[in-house]
Amino acid sequence: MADPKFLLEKHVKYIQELDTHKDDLQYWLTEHLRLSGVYWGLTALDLMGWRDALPREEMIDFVLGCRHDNGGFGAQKGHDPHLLYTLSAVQVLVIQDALDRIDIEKTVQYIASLQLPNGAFTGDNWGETDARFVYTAFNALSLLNRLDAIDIDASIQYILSCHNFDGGFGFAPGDESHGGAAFVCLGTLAIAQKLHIIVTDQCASWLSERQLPNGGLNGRPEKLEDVCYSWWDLSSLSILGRMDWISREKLMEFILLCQDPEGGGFSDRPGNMVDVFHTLFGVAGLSLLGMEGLQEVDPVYCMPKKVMERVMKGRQYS
Amino acid sequence: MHGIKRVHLSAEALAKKKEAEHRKIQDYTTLCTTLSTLRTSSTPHTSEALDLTTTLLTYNPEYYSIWNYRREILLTLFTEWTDSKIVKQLEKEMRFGEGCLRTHPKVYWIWNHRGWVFAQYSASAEDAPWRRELGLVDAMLGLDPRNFHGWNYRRTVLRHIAVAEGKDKGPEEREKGSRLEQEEWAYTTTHIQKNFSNFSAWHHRASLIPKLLSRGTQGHTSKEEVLAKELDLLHQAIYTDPADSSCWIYHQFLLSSLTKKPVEGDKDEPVLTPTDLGEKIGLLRAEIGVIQELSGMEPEEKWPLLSLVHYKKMLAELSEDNDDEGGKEEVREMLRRLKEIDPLRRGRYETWEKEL
Repeated sequence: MADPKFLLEKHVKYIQELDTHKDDLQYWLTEHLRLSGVYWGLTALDLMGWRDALPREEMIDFVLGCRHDNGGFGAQKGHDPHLLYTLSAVQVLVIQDALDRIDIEKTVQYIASLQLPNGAFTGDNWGETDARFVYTAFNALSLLNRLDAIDIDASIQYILSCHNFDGGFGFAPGDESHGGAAFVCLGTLAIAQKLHIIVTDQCASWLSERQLPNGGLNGRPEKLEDVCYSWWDLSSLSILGRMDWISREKLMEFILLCQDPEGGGFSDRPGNMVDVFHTLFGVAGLSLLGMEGLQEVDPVYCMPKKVMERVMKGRQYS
Repeated sequence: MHGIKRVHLSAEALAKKKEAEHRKIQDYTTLCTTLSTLRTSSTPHTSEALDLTTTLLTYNPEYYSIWNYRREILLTLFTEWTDSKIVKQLEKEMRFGEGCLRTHPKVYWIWNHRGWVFAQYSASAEDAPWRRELGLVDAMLGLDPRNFHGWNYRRTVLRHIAVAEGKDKGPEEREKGSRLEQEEWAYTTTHIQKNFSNFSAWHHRASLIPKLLSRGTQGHTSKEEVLAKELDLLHQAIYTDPADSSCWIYHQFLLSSLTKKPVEGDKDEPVLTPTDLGEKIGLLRAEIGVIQELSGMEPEEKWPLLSLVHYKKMLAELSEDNDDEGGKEEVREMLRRLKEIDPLRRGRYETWEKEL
């Protein structure tokens, strides 16, 4: 079967129209992740070569409206600061080349204040702790060139304690191996340039087992395929230099089947409802697989490579 | 969004949907505005505000800022309330949380709030009902045995029970602790026997082994008996469904202690497998024999072959026989077969061939 076409124009239109669905209950029920939604949409557009499909100034204003005095960002104006949305804010401003619009030092201090003595990070002052937040902090601080603000070694120790007997990683020490956890742990190790301290091939082997006969990837043994794992698992394999340990053709085929040929966007698996989260990870996965017509994506930061080159300015990174 | 079927509505159906949702949107956004106004008012932490957060969170438990607001309200009210009133509220919080979890079993914010509620007990005179929490986790895992939030929370609960009940280090407490571990072991056995595919249960089981061993088997079962039973269970599993990865991964984990090199500085963790080299080689050879037999009966199954490749390498390492060309040719042949029956992972097998 020939690959379905990549419906670029449909996806651009889908993303452009995301903010017009104010008569949709779902729009309101997802306000609590809007800033991340902006990052997902913007990054997908940039990878498709259509960064300007969404108005830049309006977007920057929106991001600034999510800012708190302590340097943290919430998901939406009036929503509480949290590491997840702080990273999304930094990523959006970096892509839009507008970091000068915020007090970087304040944001650095906010992020650094969330590190615990054991190296883990809490998401906010309410204490939820896991490896996702370590990665979030490392990604943001690396983009801001302020990794020196935290105890890198302690965090690496925490990440290592998430490494499991099967080669995979859990979200916290003792947790079951999970594709998303692999991404955040390997991403953190890569940013700190410490990948060499783990047995990478055992991890790569665990990741390569995520591919199912239909070409899609799952997050854990015996679970269903999901397009977002085309990112979490695939980028992890890319970081380990083992993308050839799965069938790239079959994965590409699967991702393309997750498109909505009518309305654009990607869903978790073929025939389901689309959303901007799965749209980004579908597009980013296709980019990583080398599909023609897409900009290159950085597997560690999930940011366009061209943007990374601009912001890192010759710095050694991951 | 996960697992929701894509539906393209006709213009008419779409109009009807929007009409139905219009009222809901108005009610919802009004409630949101009321709460945000209240939160920035001069009296943000009232019982009325608490009730409003209950309404909003019941409808949308992913609205994390409102969970934060709810905790702020509770913290203020707690400074005014008696201990018994506080505890009553904590009970209410847990019941409320259970309701949210039934409809939204994987939302991090709900699980997080639960952890916070339990942390409030230490500020009061009463002990947190950790044992009862095990019951809740049992129920959640009964509904979805692969819910990792549930399993993670279970491990948190067990840690707290161990701390709470281990305060008095007398023999009675040690007995209690040992019983808890035996019960957990039996719990994972139940899950595994219901479904050999449940890797979450296998993973949890793996975490119990060091505790089981360091506590000492107290004369009931020797570690050799435990290992024998474990291998028996695994043989059952791999013969029942050789295509299921979970048991093979756990099997590899069990045998990995045969060649695990002690890390400097790490305290010696007890393992189930023998320590004598001759016994190690004997065990490995026996397992290779069992798997070879299975592979002979099911030549199209990849996991027996994958395990054999892995164990043959281990055997060569243990017997310090790394130049055995006969053994290498056997492995080469298995990798050739694996490339045919597991073509998705050809690239991996090609790498392993080169490394031989």
